[in-house]
Amino acid sequence: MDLLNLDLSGPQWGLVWPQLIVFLLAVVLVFADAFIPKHRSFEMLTGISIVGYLLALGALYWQHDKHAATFQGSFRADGLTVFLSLIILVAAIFSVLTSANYLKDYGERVPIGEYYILLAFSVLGALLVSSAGDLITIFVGIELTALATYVLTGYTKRNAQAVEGALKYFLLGIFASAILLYGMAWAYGLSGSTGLDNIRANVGAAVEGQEWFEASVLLALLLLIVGLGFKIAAVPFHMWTPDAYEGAPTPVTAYMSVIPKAAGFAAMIRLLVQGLGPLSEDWRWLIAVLAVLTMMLGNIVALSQRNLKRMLAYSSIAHTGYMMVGLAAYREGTGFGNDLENIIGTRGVSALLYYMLAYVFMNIGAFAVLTWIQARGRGVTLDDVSGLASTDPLPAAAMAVFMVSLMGIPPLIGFYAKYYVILAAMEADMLWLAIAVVLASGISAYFYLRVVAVMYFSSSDVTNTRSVRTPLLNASIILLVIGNLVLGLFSAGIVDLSEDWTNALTVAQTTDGADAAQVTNP
Amino acid sequence: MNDQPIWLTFLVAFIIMNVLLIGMAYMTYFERKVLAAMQDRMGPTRTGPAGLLQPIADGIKLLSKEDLIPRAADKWVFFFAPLVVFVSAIVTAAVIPFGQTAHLFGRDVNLYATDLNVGALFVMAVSGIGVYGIILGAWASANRFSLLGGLRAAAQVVSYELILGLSLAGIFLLAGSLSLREIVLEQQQNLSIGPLEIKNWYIFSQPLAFVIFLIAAVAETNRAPFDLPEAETELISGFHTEYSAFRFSFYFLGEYIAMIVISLFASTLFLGGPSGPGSESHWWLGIIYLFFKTIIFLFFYVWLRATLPRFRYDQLMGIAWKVLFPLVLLNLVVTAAIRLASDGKLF
Amino acid sequence: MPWETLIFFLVGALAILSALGMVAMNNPVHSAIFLVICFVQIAGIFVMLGAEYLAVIQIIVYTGAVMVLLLFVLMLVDMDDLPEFHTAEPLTRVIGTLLGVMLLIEVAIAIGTRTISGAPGTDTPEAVALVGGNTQAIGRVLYTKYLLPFEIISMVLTVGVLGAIVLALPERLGLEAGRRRDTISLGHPRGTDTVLPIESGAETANLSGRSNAQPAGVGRTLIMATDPDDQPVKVGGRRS
Repeated sequence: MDLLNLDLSGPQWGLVWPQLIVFLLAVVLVFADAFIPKHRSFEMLTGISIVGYLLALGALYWQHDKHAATFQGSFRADGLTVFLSLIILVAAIFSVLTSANYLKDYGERVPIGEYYILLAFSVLGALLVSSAGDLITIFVGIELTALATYVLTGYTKRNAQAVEGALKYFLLGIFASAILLYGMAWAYGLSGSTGLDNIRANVGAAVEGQEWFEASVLLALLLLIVGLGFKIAAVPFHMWTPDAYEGAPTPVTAYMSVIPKAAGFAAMIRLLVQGLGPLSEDWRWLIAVLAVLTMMLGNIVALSQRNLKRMLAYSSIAHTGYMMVGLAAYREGTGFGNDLENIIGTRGVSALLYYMLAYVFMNIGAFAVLTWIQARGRGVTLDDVSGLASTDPLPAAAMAVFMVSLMGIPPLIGFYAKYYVILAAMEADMLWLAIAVVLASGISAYFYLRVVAVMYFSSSDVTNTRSVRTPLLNASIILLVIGNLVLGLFSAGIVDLSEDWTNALTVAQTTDGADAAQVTNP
Repeated sequence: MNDQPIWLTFLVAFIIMNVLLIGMAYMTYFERKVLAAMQDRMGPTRTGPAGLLQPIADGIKLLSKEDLIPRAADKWVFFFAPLVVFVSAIVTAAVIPFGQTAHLFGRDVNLYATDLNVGALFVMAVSGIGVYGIILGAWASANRFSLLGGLRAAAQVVSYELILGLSLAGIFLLAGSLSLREIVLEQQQNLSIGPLEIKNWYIFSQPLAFVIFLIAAVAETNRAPFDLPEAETELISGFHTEYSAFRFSFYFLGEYIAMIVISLFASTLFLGGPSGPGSESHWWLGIIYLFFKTIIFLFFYVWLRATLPRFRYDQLMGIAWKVLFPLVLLNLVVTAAIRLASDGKLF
Repeated sequence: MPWETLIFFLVGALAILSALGMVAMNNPVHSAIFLVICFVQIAGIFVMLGAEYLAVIQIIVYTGAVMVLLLFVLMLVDMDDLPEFHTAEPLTRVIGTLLGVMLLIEVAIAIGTRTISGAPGTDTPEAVALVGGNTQAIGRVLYTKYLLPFEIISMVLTVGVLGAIVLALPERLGLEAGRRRDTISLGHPRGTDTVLPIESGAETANLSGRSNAQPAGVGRTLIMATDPDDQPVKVGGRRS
C-alpha cells in the first residue's frame, strides 16, 4: 500500500452479511440481556440466538457465489469461507440447543445472557478466521474465539475442576498464541507482506523451480504449526485438552471441541495452504508426522479412560489427527503461481473440510447425550451409563449411533469422512498415512464399542435419577442422529461443495498489489 | 524550530530544571500563604521577611533528618522508588514550550528543551511511569498502610490517566498534531464568534474537556480532594508512611513539581501557552504570561485543598468511570463530528 | 552515526539484560520491575527507528497501564502462595534450558543463512514524512488497510471485559457481603503480623462466611499442568 495513495473505498457490505449478522446478534444479545426481565430472559435469549444463527446460515447462501475480497483484502468471501462458515454456524446452532437446558437448570447460579453473548463472539471469531485474507485478521480472529472459550470453560466458577481446566486452557492458549504470533512475524519477514495472496506470490517466486530449503522458512513453519497445533489440540500440544474438556460444563465441552478446533483448522488452511502453499513439500511432512502421533496417542490413551468426557477428549484429539491427514495430503508442484493444474492434492483439503462437518455431528451428538444424562442427575463415567438402554432406550440408541459414527462404520457419516481422508492420502502417495488411519480406527473401536456394550449389556445400578423435560436438547439429539444417518449417504453433494474451496487460491485481490515488496533471491 | 548545538539544549534544559526546583520550593510557600489566608491565619512569617526563607529552612530541615529504613523493607526498591517519582516529574517539563525562539547573545535559542512530535502523549507516558514510584515505594515499605495507599494510587492513576488522555483527544483532533509547540501555534489563530474575535484558545472550543482535564489532573497528581493514597485519617500517610528525611523529600518534590508541570501543561493546551498581547515580538513577555497562567492553576489546586473534603474511595472510582468517562467520550464524538462537518466530510 | 550506534547498543544491551533479569528474579515484583525497564528500553529502540508514536504508546499502554495493574495484583498475592518456579526438578530445568538454547541457535541460524528477504516496501521514510510523520502514517494505514483487524480487536477487548465481569461477579448477590472480605487480602509477607496457626478449617470457615475455602497459604495445593494421563487430584466434588 502506498501511504500517499490510500485506498479509501469502503468495504463492500454485501459480501460480509453472514459475519455481520452474527456480530449484530452479539450486540442485540447484549442489549436484550439488559432490558428483558429476568424470568423471560431464558426463552427470549435462546430464541434470539437460534434465529440469529439461522439468519446467518441463510445469508451464507447469498455469499456462496460471490468469490471476492473486501476490506482491502482482509476479508475474503470464497468457497473456503463459505464451507467453513457453514460448519461453524451449524455447530453454533447445535451448541445453543444443547446448552439451553443446562442453562435453564443452572440459571440461578450462572448468568444466562453472558453465556450466549460469549458464544456469539466466539462464533464470530471463528467465522472471521475462516474468511481472513491477512495474517493479522487470522490472529485476532483466533484470539476472539479463544478468549470467549476460556471464559466459557470456567463458567461454573465455583467448581474447582472447571477453574482448573479453564486456567490450564488459558495459560497454554496464550502461550501458544505468542508462538503463533512469532511464526507470523517470520512469515511476514520472509515475504514482506501480511496479505496471504502476497505471501503466496512472494514465497512462490522465491521457491520457483528449485529444490529449495532454508532454515528461516523451516523456523517460520515450525512456529506456525506449533502455535496452531495447540489450538487444534494436536499431540504433543494437547496437554490442556483432557482437563479443559472434563472441567468445562458439558455443553461448553461440546462447543469447544468443535468451534475453536474449526477456527484452528481454518487458520491452518489459510496460512499453510493459501499463504505458504508453495512450501507444501516442506510442511506436509511435519503435519503428517504430527497426524500419526496425534491419532495414535489420542486413541491409545482413550482406551484407559473411564470418565466419558475425558474419553471423548482423547477421542477428539484422535480425530484432530484424522483431519490433519487431510491437510498432509495437500501438495503443490514446484511451479509458480495460482495455476490449479500444479496442485496435486486439492482433495486433501476438501476431505478435511468434509471431516470437520461430520465431526460436528458426531461429537456434539455424543456430548449432547452426555448432557441429557447429566440433566437427569447422573454422572459421566462408564458406570453411570451402564444399563442405560434398559432405562432410557432412546438416548442410549442415539449414543450408540454417535459412538459407531465416531468409530467410522458405514453407512454413518463418520465412515464417509474417514473414507475421503484415506482416499486423499492415497492419492497423495502416502499409503503409510492411510494405513495409520485404519490402524488408529481399529484401536478406537475398543473404547467406542465399550460404551455401547456397557449401555446395552450391563445392568443399571443408578437409581437416583430425576425426570426433567428437555425439549430443545431432545430436538438437537434427534437432528444430530438424522444428520449422522443421512449426510453420509448424500455425501457427494457436500463434497462437491467443499471442492469449491480451491477458488480461495484464485480470488484475486484487486485493490492492493502495491504492498507486495519485491522478493530478492540472490 | 531551528537546529541548535546540543550543549545549548542542555543549557536550556538545565535552566528549566532549576527553575522548576526553585518554583517547587516557593510553591510550598505559596500554598501555605494562600491556605492561611483562606483559613484566616497568617501562615509562615518568622523565617526571613514575611517568611520568605521558610522553604529554604524546610529543605535544610528535611535533609538533616535521620534516614530510616524499615528492617523488612526491600532495600533496592525502597531506594529507587522516590527517584522515579522525582525524575519522571522533572522530565515531563522537557516538552513544554516556553515560547518559540529567543535571540540571546547573538544566537537563536529555542525556548524549549525538545519538540517531540508526540509531545502531549509524552507527558502522559512519563507521568504514567511516575506511578511506579508510588506503588513500588508502597510495596517496598512492607507496611500495611503503605500498601493500601499504593493500591489506591495504582487504581486511581490508571483510571484517571485514561480520562486525562481522552480529554485531550478533542484538542488533538482540532489541532491536528500531538506536538505541544504546534498546539500553541494553532491557538494563536483567531476565532470569530459572530462579531467577536478572540484567540482560538482551546478553553473556548473545548470547555467540557477543560473541566474534565482539571478534575483528572488533580486526581493524577494525588492532590486533595483526591489524595486518597495518602489519606491521613485512615492511612497515616499512605504510601510514604515509612519514608523519612531525604527520601521523603523526593516524594515531596515529585508531587509539587508534578503539580507545576501539569499546570504548565494545562496552560499550554487550553490557555494558549506563552501567547498573549505582544508575546510575538518580546519572548520574555511570553514567559511572564505563561507564569501567570500557571499561577491560576496552582491557585486552583490550593483552593480545592482548602475547601473540599476528601472523596470516599468508591466515590472516586464512581466519578471516574460513571461520570467523567462517558462525558469525555461524548466530548470526543461531538468534537470529531464538528471537525468532520467543518471540513464538509460529514454526509 | 557512531553516536546512534552507541546508543542503540546501550539500549539494546539494557533491554536484553533486563529481560534476563525478569526471568531470573525469584521475587515476582522484581521480575515485574525488570519487565518495565525492558519495555522502556524497547520504547527507546522505537524512538531510534523514528517511530515516536509507537514508543509513547508502548509506554502508555504497557508500562503505564498493563504493568501497573499486574503489580496491583502481585501486591495482593502472598509470595508464599506462589509456586517455586526456580526450584523445579533438575530434569525440567535442564530440558528447559536446552530447548531455550536450541531455539536461540535455530533463530541465529535462520537469520544467518537467510537468502530471501523482502526488499524495502513503498512505505519509505520519505513517504512517511510526506504524510506528516509517523503518527499520521500509522493512522492512515490503521484505518484503511487494517480496518477489519482493528475492529475485531475492539470485539476482543469487549469479550475480555465481559469475561472478567462474568468470572468476578458472585454467583448470588446475597453471597457478596460474605465474600467481600476476601477480595482484598493484605497478604503481604513482610508487612503482616505473624500468621496465627489455624487448626480447624471449619471454625474459620464459619467466621469468614466461606463454606469450603482454605485459608490462604495453608495446605493449599497448586494446580499445575501435569501429565494428562495422571488423573488430577480431585480438588472439588464431582460436578453436577
